[in-house]
Amino acid sequence: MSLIKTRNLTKTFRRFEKAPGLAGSVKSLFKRVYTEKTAVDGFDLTAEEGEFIGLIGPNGAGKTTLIKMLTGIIAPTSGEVNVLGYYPNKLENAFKKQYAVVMGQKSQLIFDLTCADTFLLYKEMYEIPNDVYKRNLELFVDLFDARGYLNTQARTLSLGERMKMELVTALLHNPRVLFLDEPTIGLDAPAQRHIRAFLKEMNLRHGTTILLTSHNMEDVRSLCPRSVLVGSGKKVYDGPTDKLFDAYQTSKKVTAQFEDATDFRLPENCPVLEQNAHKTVFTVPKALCGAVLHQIMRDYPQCDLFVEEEDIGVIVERIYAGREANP
Amino acid sequence: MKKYAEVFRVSFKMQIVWRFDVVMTMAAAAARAIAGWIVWRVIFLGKESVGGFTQDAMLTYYLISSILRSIDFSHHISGEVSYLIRSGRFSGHMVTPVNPLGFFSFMSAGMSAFHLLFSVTAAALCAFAMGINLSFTRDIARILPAAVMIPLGLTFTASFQYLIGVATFKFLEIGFFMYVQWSIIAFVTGSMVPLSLLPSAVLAVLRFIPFTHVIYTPAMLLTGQASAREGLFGLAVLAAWTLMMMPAAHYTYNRLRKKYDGVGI
Repeated sequence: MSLIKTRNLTKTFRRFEKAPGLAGSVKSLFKRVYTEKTAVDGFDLTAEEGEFIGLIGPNGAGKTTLIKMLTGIIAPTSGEVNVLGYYPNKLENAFKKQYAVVMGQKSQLIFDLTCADTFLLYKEMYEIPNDVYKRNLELFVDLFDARGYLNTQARTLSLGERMKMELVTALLHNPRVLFLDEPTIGLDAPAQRHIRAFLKEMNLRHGTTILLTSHNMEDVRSLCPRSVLVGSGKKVYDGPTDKLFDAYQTSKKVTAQFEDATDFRLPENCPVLEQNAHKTVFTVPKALCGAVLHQIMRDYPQCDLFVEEEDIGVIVERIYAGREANP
Repeated sequence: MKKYAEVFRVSFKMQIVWRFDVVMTMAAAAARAIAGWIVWRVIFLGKESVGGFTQDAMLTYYLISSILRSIDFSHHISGEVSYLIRSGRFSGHMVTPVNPLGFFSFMSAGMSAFHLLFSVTAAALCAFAMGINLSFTRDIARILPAAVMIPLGLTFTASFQYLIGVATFKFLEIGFFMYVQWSIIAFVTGSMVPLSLLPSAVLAVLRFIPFTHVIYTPAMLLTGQASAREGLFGLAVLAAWTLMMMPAAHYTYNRLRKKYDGVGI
């Protein structure tokens, strides 16, 4: 049986608008103007137990709204939604005990107290038996090598340490489904790797079903065998992650940086995105990437090179363009 | 119930994290007692009684009512709930298996317990230092209703302030409304002046309002200024309002949250 099932799920928001300036503000006091925005539009989704799904899409695509409906924070405007056999917006305790949400920019930790104090609170809130609590805490602390800051006031933790503690808090009660919204946002590369390894372990060892929202393509590529791509509230793609990137990611984004001002000549077939005397950002067709990087390193040995995945928005546009070309 | 006991403990722990804040809390409790002593001494200059109170009875009333007022943190609930809803952080309380009304009530109770400790100590020390002859009743028929009314009153105000806070789901900005109702409540609870100084027609109406029995009636009972019968009447009024307010707050939350879009947060 599917753990998550939505059919034709739709969420429409009403947004207040007003003309600029004082006159607009006064006018809006007497006459309100609202516009409607469909954040999620006829969304069908199913997720089976133990899946690790990447929910990707540009800003404003509707990913977070979808997560909010799946966790019951907001009610859908129309359509059907069933998570773990419950209608999420009823917010039944029996339902809430079976999932966890971690939003990268919203903390669950009590900042004035230590992480251990937060864990104790969550132990009681989720009615976690003593043996399960102790076993999980030991396991997670070991996996994150986090024993050193268990008794540290949460507000003094670094961003990376804090995110690790957020994940421990969320997983103490062995949730069957974990919703993650941008868990690696703002973290450095080693912290990102640490968190990815932890999530992989949780998915494989505990069979936790994970729905991951991220702009970090490395998160999605390394963790999620399946990806759901969202654009303008609609499902644009649902299938293997490798296939998505192989089919639609045609370029890589390269940044070349120089300490001294340099007259950098762009390789052929590489459209420039940004250029000044110290930095050039350009895209390279995926097939030419190795050769182009080799050429740059040969011609500019003092250059620092950074290679990134293409922006997800570009991939969405490409999928739409492909559909329009081959309807 | 264990989960709410832990919420209480967390709240108490949060109060004693910052040492400077702890010292200032003690200082504020002492300052309140001293200020009241000065003000009422001036008012009683050349008078035997004011509004039926002797100076000692008035100072006892003032100390009890200021203690009760200092432990009522329910006004924090409306502000906190409103802020959390507006900032999108209330969602954290929606996804955990804890009733938000219970959570905020016990957080408030944890703060109350901490302040009670210091307020009572400071008031007792000040009373001793200034030679105030505290005039408490020894009548158990008055002490018992007062002892029940104090936690019941805090429960009522917590539910009421929670209801005000969750109105943010509908109106989004309720800052001015909160300010106005806090001011009115400060007056009708009798924490500014004893309500017995007001005209009897006003008093007759206030007897049916729950806020009157949160601070004023228990303080009057403990000082022996109100009869046991008045205490039982106040207790009945307060209990009836509390029994209505708790489900009303719960219902309002469940109704308004469903209409909330949370757009952009």
